[in-house]
Amino acid sequence: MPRTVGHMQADKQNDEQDDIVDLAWRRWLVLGCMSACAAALFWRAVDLQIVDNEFLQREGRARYLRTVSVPAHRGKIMDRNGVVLAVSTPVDSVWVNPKEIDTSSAEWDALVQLLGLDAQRIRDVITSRRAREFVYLKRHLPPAQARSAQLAAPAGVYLQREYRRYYPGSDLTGHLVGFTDIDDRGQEGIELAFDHSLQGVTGSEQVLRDRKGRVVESVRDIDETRAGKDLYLSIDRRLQYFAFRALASAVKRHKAHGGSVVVLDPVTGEVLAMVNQPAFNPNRRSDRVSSRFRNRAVTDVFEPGSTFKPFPVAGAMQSGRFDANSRIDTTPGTFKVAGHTIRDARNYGVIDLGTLIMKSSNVGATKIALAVEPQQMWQTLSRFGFGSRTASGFPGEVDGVLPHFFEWRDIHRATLSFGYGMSVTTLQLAHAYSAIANDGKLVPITMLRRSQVPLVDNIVSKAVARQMRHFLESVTDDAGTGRRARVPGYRVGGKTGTVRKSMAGGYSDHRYLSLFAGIAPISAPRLVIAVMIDEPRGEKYYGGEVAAPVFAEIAAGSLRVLGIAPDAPSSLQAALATQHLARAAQTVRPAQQLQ
Amino acid sequence: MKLRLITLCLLLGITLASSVGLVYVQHMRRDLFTDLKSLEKGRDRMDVEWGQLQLESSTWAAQARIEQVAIEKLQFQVPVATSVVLVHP
Repeated sequence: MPRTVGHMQADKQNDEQDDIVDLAWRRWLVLGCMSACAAALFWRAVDLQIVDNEFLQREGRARYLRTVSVPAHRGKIMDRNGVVLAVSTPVDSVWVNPKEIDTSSAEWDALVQLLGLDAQRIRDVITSRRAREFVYLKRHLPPAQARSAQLAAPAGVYLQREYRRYYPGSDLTGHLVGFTDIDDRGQEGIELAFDHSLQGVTGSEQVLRDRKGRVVESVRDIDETRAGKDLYLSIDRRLQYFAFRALASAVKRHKAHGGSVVVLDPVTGEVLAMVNQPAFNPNRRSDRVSSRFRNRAVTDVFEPGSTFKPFPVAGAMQSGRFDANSRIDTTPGTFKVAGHTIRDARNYGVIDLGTLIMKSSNVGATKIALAVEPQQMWQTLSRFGFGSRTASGFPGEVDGVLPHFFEWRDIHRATLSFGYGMSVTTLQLAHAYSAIANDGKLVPITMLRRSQVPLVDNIVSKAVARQMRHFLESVTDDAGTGRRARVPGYRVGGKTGTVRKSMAGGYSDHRYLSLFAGIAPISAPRLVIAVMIDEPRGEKYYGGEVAAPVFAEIAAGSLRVLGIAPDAPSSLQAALATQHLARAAQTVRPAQQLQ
Repeated sequence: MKLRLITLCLLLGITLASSVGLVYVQHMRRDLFTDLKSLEKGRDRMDVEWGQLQLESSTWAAQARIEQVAIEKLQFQVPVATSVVLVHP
């Protein structure tokens, strides 16, 4: 029995032994497979970590390194007191990717309607640019509209942050500040002149981000960011307003073609105000045509006529041949030079230099100019800045015209003495007057707020400049041509001019420029104001009647806001009587209306 | 031998501490940097707002408007010469 059992066991053992052989073979197979896999994995690991580690690092970087752009917007433009004249503020532009957009969807129609676009036109534009990936739908949306556009936006529509320039001064400072194009680059005026420093350069940098998307480290700057610098102009917006209002009402009242006013600080050379008519509003894109936005105070030249007379006379005094007591015989009120007759309004007889300026005698000015050496005269005049450009740096500023003395014949010397045969801009005229106001020193013009006044030499001596101011003050006397330039409480002086416009083929008989250039207050000048009114077509056209009141209005307001103490308080009393009369007239008017 | 072991342990400890410190400082730096960035973002936002407020104030404070309000609404007048008293310092 056991044997049998033993036998059976042996049999079984034999069977098992066969099985073990089979299993061993399979085990090696499995082991081989597994180790092959392990080897492959190991090799892959080695490959990734050592041989081709660049790949993993790149993938890793792509998950935490980001390039972000650092926006920089355009600097603000402010007046001398920090009142904003131009500022860039963010707006959104909507753009589409024509490859992604479905123009037949209802969402698309809603968006087009929201943006107020012409559906057919937009579809045409998008169809024609199928191959592109970027088409502006509408630029510079107000933030609220942009937000609702973003909510309504179907796939393929995106928003882009941009900056739009606003000009709160609108037409008050339009010509002066100029404007930028839709991409915020300066096109005209101050915006163009100082474009480089105003413009911000948008840069980009590489940053590390953590898993919450926060920026945790700045790796490096790719493009350097440069913020736009703010600019403080020399302009005072209050004075700008007075000048604008006075000029606009004068142009309207006298049905004039246009006009310009420049207000300078003669001591620092700063331009305090500069306005033109017709006005220009830079916020309105349709206004942007050159005939409207041109800053005529610097781009247009004219013959200054009698307003120029103080300069040859100052030159004559500086030469030492004439002084305040010199007498000039202007009888009989006409004077022949090289076959041409120079005329005065009437026969002034024997006059001194003060009367010459006060009465604006052409004959007297001619006789003086002919008595001074041409070269010397030319030198003095060109040192006053005539025949060249100011240092304002304003784009489009033109040179004045002053013929060289080599070209001067007697008739030129004569006409030049009363401001014909040469030309200036309103700014250049004001600048020349600033030398008389500033005791003979001509400080270079600047459009920017100035903290340090450059040192300059005298053009004419202090004594000559003061004498000339005295002459100019007499122009506003009762007997002078500039009575209407008077400002109650202050001593002011200036010179009127009524110039025939030069046209093709000679001078016009009925087209005039009315001019006034003046200084206030005379005792310690703080303001120089030049007024030019182009073609007044009303009954009045004399500089003393049209331009002088503009000077008075601007000077009165400006002296008040600048807090300059009256230097002739007694004249307030004189003004009093007039005011009483005016008020009496005002109180009468309603009564008349009742009847 | 013993001294060597102590030195080794000490150096090991210092290295460990310094590495932990490094990680900590790095973390702190990133935390602060995040704060800085969010503050900068806030500054830019306020800058934009400041610009808009300046724009608004400049529009409201336009001389033409002030003059209109002063004369029409508040009935202001430019003082007549008699009511002006000059005070000399």
